[in-house]
Amino acid sequence: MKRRWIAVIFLFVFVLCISLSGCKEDFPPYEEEKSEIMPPQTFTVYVCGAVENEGYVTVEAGETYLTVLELAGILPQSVVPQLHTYPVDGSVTELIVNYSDGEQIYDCINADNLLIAERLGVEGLPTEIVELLADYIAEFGAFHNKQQLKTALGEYAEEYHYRFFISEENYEKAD
Amino acid sequence: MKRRINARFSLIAAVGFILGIFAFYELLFGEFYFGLAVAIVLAALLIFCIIKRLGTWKVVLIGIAFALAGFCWSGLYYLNITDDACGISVSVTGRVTDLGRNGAISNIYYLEDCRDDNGRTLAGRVRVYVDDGSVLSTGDVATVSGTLDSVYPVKQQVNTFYLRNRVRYELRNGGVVSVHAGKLKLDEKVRKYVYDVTFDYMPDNSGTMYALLTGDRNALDETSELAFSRAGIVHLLAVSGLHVGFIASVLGFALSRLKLRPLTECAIIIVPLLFYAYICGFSPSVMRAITMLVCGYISRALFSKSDMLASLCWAALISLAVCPYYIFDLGFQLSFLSVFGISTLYYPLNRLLLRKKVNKHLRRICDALFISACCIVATLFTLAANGGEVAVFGVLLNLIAVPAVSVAFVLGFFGLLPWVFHYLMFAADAFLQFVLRCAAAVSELSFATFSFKTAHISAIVVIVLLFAIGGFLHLSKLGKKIFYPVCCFLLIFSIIFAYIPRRADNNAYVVYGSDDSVTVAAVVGDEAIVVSDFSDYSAVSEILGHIGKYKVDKITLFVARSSLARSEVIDAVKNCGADTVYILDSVDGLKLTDKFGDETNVFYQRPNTCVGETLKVRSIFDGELCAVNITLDKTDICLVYGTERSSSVLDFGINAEFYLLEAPCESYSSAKVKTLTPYQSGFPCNYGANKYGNFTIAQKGDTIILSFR
Repeated sequence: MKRRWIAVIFLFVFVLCISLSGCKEDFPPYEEEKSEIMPPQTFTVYVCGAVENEGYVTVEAGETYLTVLELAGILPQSVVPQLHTYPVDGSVTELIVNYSDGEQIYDCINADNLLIAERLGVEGLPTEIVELLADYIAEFGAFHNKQQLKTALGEYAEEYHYRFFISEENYEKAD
Repeated sequence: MKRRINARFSLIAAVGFILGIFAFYELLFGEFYFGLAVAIVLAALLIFCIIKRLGTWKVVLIGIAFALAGFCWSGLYYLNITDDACGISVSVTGRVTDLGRNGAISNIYYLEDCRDDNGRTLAGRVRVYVDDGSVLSTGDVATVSGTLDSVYPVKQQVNTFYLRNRVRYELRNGGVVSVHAGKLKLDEKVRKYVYDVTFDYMPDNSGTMYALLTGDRNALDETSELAFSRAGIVHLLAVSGLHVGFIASVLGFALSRLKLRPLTECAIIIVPLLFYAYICGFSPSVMRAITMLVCGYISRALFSKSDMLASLCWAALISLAVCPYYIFDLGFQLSFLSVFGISTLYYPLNRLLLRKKVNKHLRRICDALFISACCIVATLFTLAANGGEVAVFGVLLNLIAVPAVSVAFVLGFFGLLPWVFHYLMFAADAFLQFVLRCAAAVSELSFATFSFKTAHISAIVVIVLLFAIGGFLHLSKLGKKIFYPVCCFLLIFSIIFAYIPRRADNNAYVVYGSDDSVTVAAVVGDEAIVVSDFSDYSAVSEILGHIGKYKVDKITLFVARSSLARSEVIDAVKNCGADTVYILDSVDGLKLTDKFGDETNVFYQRPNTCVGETLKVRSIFDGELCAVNITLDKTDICLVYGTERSSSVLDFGINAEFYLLEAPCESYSSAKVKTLTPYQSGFPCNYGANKYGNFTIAQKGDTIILSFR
């Protein structure tokens, strides 16, 4: 009885070993392939000029520059750049959005422009606006964000804030 | 005392062998649970029988031995048919076979005895697609240049046509370099002769008669085949017991005068039968019939009686020994199940009839009806589980069709003899025309067929149920009270289960069509999308079938390159219940806005914009549509169009988990990203649809699973 058991088990194991010999480590061929989800690649773009919220906008790979502008806040006066339909790929890291009065397109002016600080005439800007900005710069130093710009412009903020941009070097997020 | 199971050695051996084949097949997909479960159950049974000192331990040991044999043989067979030729530019010289040549002509040829330009012999046949307009004849020795790939017949869907015809390679973009005439082989000459005679003397039904005599349906027109199928008599076109039985009876009648011993008579009869099988390409149904006939002779000679079930099991064993993967062929399953139904269910019905003492003629009619009904009952659930339609009037129509086709076969067989005998073909034509008219009339009825969904397990339950009804399983009264209701419950449950829509589990299903176009269906929650060129009918049908398994409230279609969309594919898709259709390349040549009607909204998607919330689809343009990115929750799948521009898509910063390309591209393998292509290449991280079949990409938590089922 015991011998029969042993013979049967031995035969079973022997045949199993024979059948499994020659197995390759890449067998089975149609086994499921598992992988971890890669964290999404993100791109950060500095958006300034004729937008609601100047600053850094981070989007995932595959989003277009239009999404970037929408996150920054498009104004009625904003001139959407031509590359808005292109996917964000890291090639453009600073986006200055110009403005339009309905008839013409104008370039935004750097609020920390030396001409403003020295109270010299700037094309397209009334003197009182230049004076307001120069006073602020003289008292508090360079503009670091749109909030400071709007504070400096006071009652003229709504009408003029979108005509200026804060350069990326000077930018600091408002408190 | 009666044994619980009236088993036979051949039955245990066949069941064990089949279990071994399935265990190996599941192992191909990394699923060792089936094999492990079979091994544990058999080992536990063996140990139980030894402990209890039951004599049945030998039976279990036979089962184990054959299960191991089935497992090992499947493995060896698989390794023998697997070769990894991937996209090799080569010239192949080989002989054109008559596969697919007699009848409907196409530009697909099958070459055998092939050598490549290095003189290396290629095992098996090469399927060549010639697109330069050259026409080759059977027997020609042709040199064709193109791109060589291995075919992989064993994957999720086993391609038994390739296995049966020993097709091992495929040559794409074939251009004929040289041709010179060659000779036909003996079987090709016979088939050509049969084709020529039927074509000359049977004006209306030459294709049907050719199929009846040789089993080759290439000459059969689609209308006739559909009529036969819908009427439930398509089985008559498969060379099987009807045909082999006639030839054996003619030979038996001729030899009966010699009063030979059964085994001697068998040895003489088997030679022409094997020759007939050779002409029919050794199809599983003809081999089944011949094996059963030989088993019948042997058992009558040795035991003075024959057992149909044992003969059937031996036939199954021999067929599966020739090719273990025939078990996955629907024709093989239906052929064997039909005879299984007769061997189990027919005798109880016949005994019932005998007890009733009916009129002789009525009994003959009932006999014929019973045989037909037994076949249908045994094959019903297998057919339904494989998406087939069940013919309502098959049982009744067989009463007329079987005798008529038998007469036609006999007339056609003798009509092959030379000289005046050919005119018998006219009479055969009349009989076949009558059968075809009946089949056409029945098939035109709207209720001629019905289909229902069921799980594959129901086929196993039916086999066990028939085994019990046939008297091979002896149960006590209590056992019968439990067994039959449980089986019926399992059958009903398997039907209900098949109709319950599954909960979507964030997956995408990728199908590459025969034109190398890709179709993707993604399902998240109750929303589904389909992104495709809508140029390949079978790919789109398969995709819609996949979506049909889920409970989906909203379906959105995205037509990628509408210039490639085919009208008949769009016609098939427009009733799928899609709420919205987006045309991604802004070209609406097929006037899709008119085709889909008022209930579906058709839009042109703006370039480089994203549509959807849970499932997002973004079209990417660089002048024209170059890619479509599908976001499945956290997983990106990017369909890339155009082989020349495909590498530039990597620069768009999409960072997809999978890129679906039209052809393998080296820059993707250098970037170590996973690519799916129509054909397997030697690049790492590349998966070819010709090797892996269809793909399922599922997201479970933070893991992405790529599976090939």
